[in-house]
Amino acid sequence: MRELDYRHPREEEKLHRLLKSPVIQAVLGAYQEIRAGTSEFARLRNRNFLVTESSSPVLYRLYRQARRRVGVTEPIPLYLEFDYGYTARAEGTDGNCALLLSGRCLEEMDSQELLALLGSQLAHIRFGHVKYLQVSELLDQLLRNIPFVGGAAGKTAGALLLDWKQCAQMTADRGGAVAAGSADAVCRMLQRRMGGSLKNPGADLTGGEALYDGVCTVEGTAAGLVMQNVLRQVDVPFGSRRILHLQKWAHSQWCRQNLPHIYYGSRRGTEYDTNTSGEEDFRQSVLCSKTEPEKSLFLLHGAAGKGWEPAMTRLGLCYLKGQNGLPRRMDTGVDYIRRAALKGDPDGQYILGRLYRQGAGRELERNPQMGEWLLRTAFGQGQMNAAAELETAPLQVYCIPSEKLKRLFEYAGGCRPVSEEAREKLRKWLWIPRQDVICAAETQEDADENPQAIALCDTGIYLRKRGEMPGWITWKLFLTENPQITVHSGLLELTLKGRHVWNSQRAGDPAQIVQKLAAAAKACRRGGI
Amino acid sequence: MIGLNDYLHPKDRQLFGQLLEQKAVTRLFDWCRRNCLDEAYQYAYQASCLRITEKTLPSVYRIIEKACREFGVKIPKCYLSHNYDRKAELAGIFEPILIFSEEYIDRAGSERLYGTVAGQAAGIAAGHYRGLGLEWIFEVCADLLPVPQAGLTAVKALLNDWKRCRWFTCDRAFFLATKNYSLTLESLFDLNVPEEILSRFRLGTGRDGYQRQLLRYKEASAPAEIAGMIQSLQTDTAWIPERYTELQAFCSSRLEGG
Repeated sequence: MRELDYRHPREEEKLHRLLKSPVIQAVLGAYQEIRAGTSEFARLRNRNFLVTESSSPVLYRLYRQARRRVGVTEPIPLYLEFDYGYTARAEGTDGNCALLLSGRCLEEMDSQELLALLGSQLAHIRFGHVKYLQVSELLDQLLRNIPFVGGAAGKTAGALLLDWKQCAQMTADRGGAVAAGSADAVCRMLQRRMGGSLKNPGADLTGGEALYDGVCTVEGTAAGLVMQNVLRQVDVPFGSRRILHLQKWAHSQWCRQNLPHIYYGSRRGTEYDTNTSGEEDFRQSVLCSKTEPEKSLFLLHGAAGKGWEPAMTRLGLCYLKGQNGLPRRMDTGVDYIRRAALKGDPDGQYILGRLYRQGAGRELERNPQMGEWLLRTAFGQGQMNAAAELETAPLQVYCIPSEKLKRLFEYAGGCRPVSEEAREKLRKWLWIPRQDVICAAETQEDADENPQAIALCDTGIYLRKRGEMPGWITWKLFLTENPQITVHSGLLELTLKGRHVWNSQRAGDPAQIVQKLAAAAKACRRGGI
Repeated sequence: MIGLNDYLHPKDRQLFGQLLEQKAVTRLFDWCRRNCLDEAYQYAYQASCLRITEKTLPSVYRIIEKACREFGVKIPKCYLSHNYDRKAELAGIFEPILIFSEEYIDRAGSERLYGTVAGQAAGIAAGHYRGLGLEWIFEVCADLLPVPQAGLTAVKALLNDWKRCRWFTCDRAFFLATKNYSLTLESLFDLNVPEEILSRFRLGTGRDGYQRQLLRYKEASAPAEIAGMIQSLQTDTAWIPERYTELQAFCSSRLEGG
């Protein structure tokens, strides 16, 4: 993605114009001194919450995804800060900066909006905007607190900065769309920041382009000053204009050629922005695929965007193979297939299982065991092609007692009994085949609708962490890979191959399940491995 | 429909009238028109904020529509913003706009929101947005104004006094629209007193700091007190006890008059 340059076409020209201003030159010089050492950047670590894989796994995963898609490879720390607004900003300077995200964003935005927000800030970093954005803030403060600073030249510099900033923010909006895979996510994010977090406040977007060109860029005049002053007070200066520009870019030929998933996936402002269900869109897409291929692609992307799993699988295949007029894109294809599999689509699970078997470059690390399990799960849901792919006969019990397992059994004794209803839910959530008996389980639910769960079954341990795909560790693997199990006050921590796998957060009540495990262990001991 | 004379406070009427009669003010408004300042102002909000319309936020729009009809004013353009410290603000120079805090809409409840909007609708009817616009122009375009600063001293003093008194009009309108005396009194302390105790807060009790603050303001003599008084001039919070007293008197007279 790094080779794609989606900058606003006039950004560079406006930057050159800006840098010719003597006031900007002076402020740039002062900026280096003011920001060094004792700056906000140097204090970040002590004042804010660093986002890491263990502290905020879901947010960290999204951040990593945004960085990969925008093409930022250097390590840039992400911090959370306490702020009532929906703010995200880069602090520091180009080459040495950090990102700050307000806690409210994390609480209220969905994952697509977060990707869009993080992506837009990363785009600022990628295209070297951070220094000039910081200078813009510094100049704003100077103009506000010290009247007449620079006189007319200061006000002219303010106008030039505003003009460049608009282009830079439009570039960042495009970066957000690249990160989220959709311009609609960026539009939602911008609207939310403009005051639209109440239910259903759409936007009444009437951009007024002519007035912008006529008023904003008139340097040093009263109208320009009025404009600049109002824009300091609003959350997203020219937000409506930015949304309109982004929609126009998303529907451009450039996007169609280079970022087709954004082109076809951005429905806002088009005739395809309807309230029909994903299933209906998919049906229409199939019906018109021969006669109206363009419309079919819009509808197919729309159906996938609305969460219809067969559409996601079909679209994923199109991108993996480069079919139906779409270019071959491994990252987009794997993403769609993974989302379909996660929603339980058997075809999606089947394709993902095969991808795990072979590996898919940087997008998916080869994992034959995961592939095997996915194929088994797909087969269990009626995907007949998966049966032919399975290498082993269905289910062998590897339940073997050992010193390492003893502690697990003790822990199992501490789990609460699993009711029949809970078992069904667990089977669905953890993709546990019907033939596999659930001996003990624990579910950690919180306000989030995606609980963590772990189940000890005949064949091994099934588990699922928040926001991730389910996982399966056979007992055989468990024994041979030297698991580290520690139990403190009834809480279990499990590490496999040096990687932290599970951390129980709640001690349970004594259960009768341990008797079943002990009986199973005895039977297997007789049979050997 | 509620007539202007039913709620327009005499001080508001007098001071605003004096303000508009100033020649410097007429010159300033002409200058604003020639330089299209109102257009720039309107455009900046239009291009940067979400607008409240029948389609976007129908429930809030209906409240605004009802309040405007009640006070006989045209529905202004209304926008949303994120601001925990504000409720609804009147802005604009020649054409009024209303800017609502999204957080306030979320927590206010329909009756309180209606009262707040009614206060602003009354402000529109009384032309408050022009005075507020003038204050804003002084701040933003200080060194571009066609009138020398010395010539604006009297205007600024009038403006400062009027800015306080206009709230008397808005408070009266709140009461007339909602007919809820306790809610109207509560609205004075909204955002100044924690919401958890708002319904129980009463001015004039032993722990009430507002009265002491008002006394200090009125009877300032020592340098420190005068400095405090000057600071009070720049905030609205110090004015709340006056608003409270005025509102009490108005409500009593309405109740007595039937």
